[in-house]
This record gives sequence, structure tokens and C-alpha cells, in this order.
Amino acid sequence: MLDKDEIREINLDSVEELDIKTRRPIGEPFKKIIQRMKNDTKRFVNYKIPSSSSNLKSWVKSFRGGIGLITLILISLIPLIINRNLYYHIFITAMIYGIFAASWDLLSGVTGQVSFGHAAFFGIGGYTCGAFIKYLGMDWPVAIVFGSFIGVIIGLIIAIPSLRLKGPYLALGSLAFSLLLWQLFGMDSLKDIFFGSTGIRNIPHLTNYDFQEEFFIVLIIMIICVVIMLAVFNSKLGTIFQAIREDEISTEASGINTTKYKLYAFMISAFFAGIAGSLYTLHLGNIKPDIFSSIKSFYPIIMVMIGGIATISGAVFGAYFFIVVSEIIVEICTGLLPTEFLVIFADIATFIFAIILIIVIRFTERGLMEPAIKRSKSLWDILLGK
Amino acid sequence: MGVILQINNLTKRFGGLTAVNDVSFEVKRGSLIGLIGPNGAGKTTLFNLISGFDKPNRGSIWFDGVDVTKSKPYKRVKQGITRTFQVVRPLKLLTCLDNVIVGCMSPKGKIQRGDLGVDQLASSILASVGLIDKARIPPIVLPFGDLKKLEIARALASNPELLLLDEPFSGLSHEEQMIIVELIRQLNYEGYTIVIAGHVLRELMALVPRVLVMNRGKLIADGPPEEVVNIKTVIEAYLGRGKN
Repeated sequence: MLDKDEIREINLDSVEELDIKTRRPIGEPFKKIIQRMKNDTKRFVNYKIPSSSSNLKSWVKSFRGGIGLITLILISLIPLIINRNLYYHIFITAMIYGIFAASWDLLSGVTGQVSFGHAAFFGIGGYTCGAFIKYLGMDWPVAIVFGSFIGVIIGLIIAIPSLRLKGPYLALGSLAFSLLLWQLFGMDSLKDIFFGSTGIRNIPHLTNYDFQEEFFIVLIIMIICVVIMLAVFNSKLGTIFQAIREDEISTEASGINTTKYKLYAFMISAFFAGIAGSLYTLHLGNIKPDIFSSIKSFYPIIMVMIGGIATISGAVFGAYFFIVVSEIIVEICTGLLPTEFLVIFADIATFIFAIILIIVIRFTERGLMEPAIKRSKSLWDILLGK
Repeated sequence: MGVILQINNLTKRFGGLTAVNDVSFEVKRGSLIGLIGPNGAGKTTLFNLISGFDKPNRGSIWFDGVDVTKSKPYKRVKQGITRTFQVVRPLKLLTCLDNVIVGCMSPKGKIQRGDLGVDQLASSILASVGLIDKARIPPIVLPFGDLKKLEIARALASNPELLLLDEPFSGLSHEEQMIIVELIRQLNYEGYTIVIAGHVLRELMALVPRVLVMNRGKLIADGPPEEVVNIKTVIEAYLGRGKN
């Protein structure tokens, strides 16, 4: 709360003393208007405006924070109950894509720089991490972080020409870059630099195939990454990012160097996408050029659309939904349907999944979380005793 | 109290159309100036040139003794020139407070902060234009009069020396216009140099002690309002050449 002397009050008493040779004196009706504005300013002194950026305590108490915390705890406990390697694999993949989708959301949903080629950062992170571990013998934590920094530098090389592009042109330009990398890393003639069509094989696994240990490591890494991205989203930096999305010219007119902040968004997004790519490589034990394929670029977009664009946490939710549901459908199809059926309709799982996605995206305007949140919000208030 | 803005032979062409034609004038620090002219006279283009959103074909702009002709818009804000838009451009889905915070986060906006937090500074700016009770509301639901005030608040957020207000009165009711008039008067009293682009309006003519008149890109008059309205070319600009 401010002291009265600390705010610039409208000092309207002095206005009448101005030289009013060519200007009208203030009449009675206008005196009332001015008094109203004076009262507004005075009211502000007694008006406590809470800070728009939240701290941990208030976030936990808030609705989204509470739900997020509960979901996180539940998810961490599931593998302890169902101790099957397949379930670990599903959740690890979901978490990796969660980081990847959140990084896409930060760049495209929050800052409005829609990228159709995010696989570029994913793949660069994966390749650099894999190469560092296999050929330079680095430990995996160092390799992941270092690999992601390299990914940021490559990201800058991609981003700087992209800055001149807007809207659909930026989307297509980014797609072009990822396709370029797909080609480059697939060319056997450039095998010495770019590893060729076989990629990098026999990369030592993160925890030597102990999936339970890997699960918890990836969980902690995911929590750290998502918390950092959420912190950026809720900070004043996040406000500037959203301002750039809303109206870039208007933001520039307010004195913000939009080019600089767009680069920041690219860099942060590329870093976390690189971390996701590194974890992906370490989970599979190898990396191939198809990590740059366009379908890998579209996965985060679909996940974010499911979970709610420009929310960061929605990206994680969408990733979980996407991966878990697709795996469940594959299980059902391989389990229930007769083998002959499957041979003919080999991609039936993909087909069913695509239908589900279309329905979900068609009927949830701002992501799956919105209607569910609205319904549970009243329940939450009751739980908290409001 | 010297010259804060000097415009020399500024020219801007869009293909065959000369929007700003060899315009030169001077603005002293602390003055309050009206820039009037019929629609299409080149007022907004002139503002675009001064604030950096367009590059002139010819001529130069000197601000506070520095040649700013070539700097980008955000740099000019840093030097001290801020403009508002004729068709308001609020950040629709952010709250009013966030709208002002964006300006406060600019390099020059940060300077005025001192010991205040960004939120408090933005709140005090909102309060001074009379929008404090709408701090948490996004501009997408606000009435037009409030959007005009928000536009001015956002300009103030970046701590300008020179304020270019592009048609701050257009589309407002008489009462709302008087509020803006008093706001501008007070801002000028506090020390802001203000140039207002607008039309021949009783309130504008009563407010400013000096008026520049543009027509078809050229500056056709420069002087106190009571004299300017009687100049033949000015009358012709608005009413055309009639029998009288």
C-alpha cells in the first residue's frame, strides 16, 4: 500500500491559475467531473491491488495449483501400484512429450509465434545429447543440459531469419527448417557429420533399462521444467510475451523491443524442447533422422490443443491424454481384435485415435480442461470451505 | 526550455500519393499543440514518421538535439516520443493493469519506477486517468470511452517527454471529451509536451494555444487558434472553394 505522497495525484487545484487567455475557464459541470477523477485517485490509496504474479503459497491455494498438485501426486503413485514396464514406458513417454508440448505452448500459444517445425529443436537436442554421451563419454545430466544449450544456439540460427516472418509464413518457414534438418540428417553422403540414415545407435540408457528409476528421474526433470516455464508464463516476462501475441505493433509502441523478446521466447522454448529430445533419445537408446519428421512437429500442437492453448499446464495434460489414450487403444485393438482383422487394418488404432482427437478438438473450444475445470471449481470451493 | 522537436522538410510518398509534403516546424518543450486538418491530410502519417512507424523519403527529425530519423519505434519511445493510435489498439485479452504494465516494463518506463513496484506504478497511472476500478478487467469488454483513456494511460506508462495523441476525442460524447480535455490540460501542466491530432473542434481550439493546420500533406497554417480559423486556405480545406 502506498503513502499518499508517493503517488502522483492529479493536482487540479492549480489548474485554474493557468494562463487562460485563449482557453475556457472551468465551469461548474466540469468541476464535478474533475472531482470524480480526484476521488478515483484518492480511492486508489485505500485500494489494495494484489500482485498479478503469484508466489508458491498462493498458487497452491489457488484452484489450478491445487488440482495440479493432486494430479501430480496421483500420477507419481500409479506406477508404484501397477508395476509393469509398459506402464512406466507410457508415462515416461507422456512426460517427455509433456515437456516438449509445454515448450511449444510457450513459444506459439503464449508468445504467438506459431511454429510448425518444433521437431527441429527436439531433434537437435536429441542428436547433440546422444553424440555427447556416446562419442564424448559425458555423463547424462551434463549431456542433457549441454545438448540443450547447443540446441538453443541452433534455435537462434533458425529464429533470427524467422523473425521477419509473421503468421502463416512463420509457421511454414519453421516447417521448412525442420524438413531441411530431416533431409540433412538422413543423407548418407554426409554420414561423417550428420550420422546418416541410421542415426546414432547403442546410446547407453538413462538408468540401464531400470524403468522404475527412470520414471522418477524423468518425473523430477519434468516437474522442474514445467515449473520454470510456468514461472516465466506468470511473470512480467510472460506478460510481455502475451502482449506480443496480442498486438505486436501496439507492444512496440509501448517501448518494448519485440524482436529481442521474441528471441527470448525462441531460446527458452528451444532449450526445453532440447531437454525433451535428449530424454527421448536416452529413453530409446538410439536416435534416427525421423525425429525431425513433420508428424513429430504436429504432436505438440495436437497435445496443446487438447489441453488448452496458452496455459502451459494444459500442454502437459494434453500430452498425457494423447499418449495414454493412444496406447490404450493400441492395447484394446491388439488384445480384442482377431489377428486377421489386424493384418488388414493395421492402422486401425491410429484411425480410431484420429477420430477421438477430431471429436475432442471439435467440441472443446479452449481445450479439454476448461469445462472440467468449471465444473470442479465449485467442488473445490466447497472443499476449501468458501 | 528549448526546442524538443524539430521537423525539417519531412516528405513521405506512398507510390504516387504524397502523404506528407515538405513539412517543417518546431516544438518547444512543454508546449501544447493541436494538429488539425481534414481526413487524409496526413496527420497520422506525420505521427507515424515522428514516432518511427514509417521512414520518410526526405527530411529529418531532431528530438532533443539528437537525429532520430532512422531509429526504430521502440528506440524512439526510449528517447522520449510516445504516440497513441487513432483506432485504439489495446491488448485485448490482458487486463487493463497488464496493458499498462507492458509500458512500464520498457527501458524508459522502468526509470520512473524508483522505489515503487511495477504493479503499483501501473495502478497509479490507471488511477490518474480514472480507470483504476477496471484494473483487473480486460479491455475487450470495456466501453469505447474507457478504451480511449486506456490508450493514454499506456502512453504515459512509457514515461514520455513528448506525447503524440492521435485523435483522442473522436467518437466520444461531450462529457467524455471534456474529461480527456482536462486530462490533457493537467498532463501539460505537469510538464509533458503534447501534440494532439484532431479536427476543428471547439474543445480542441479552446484547449491549445497553438495550432498547425495540414491539408493534402502540406502545412498551411501555424498560429493561435483564433487567427488560424480565419485564414482563407484553412476554411477552404474544410469547406472547399465555394461562392463565398
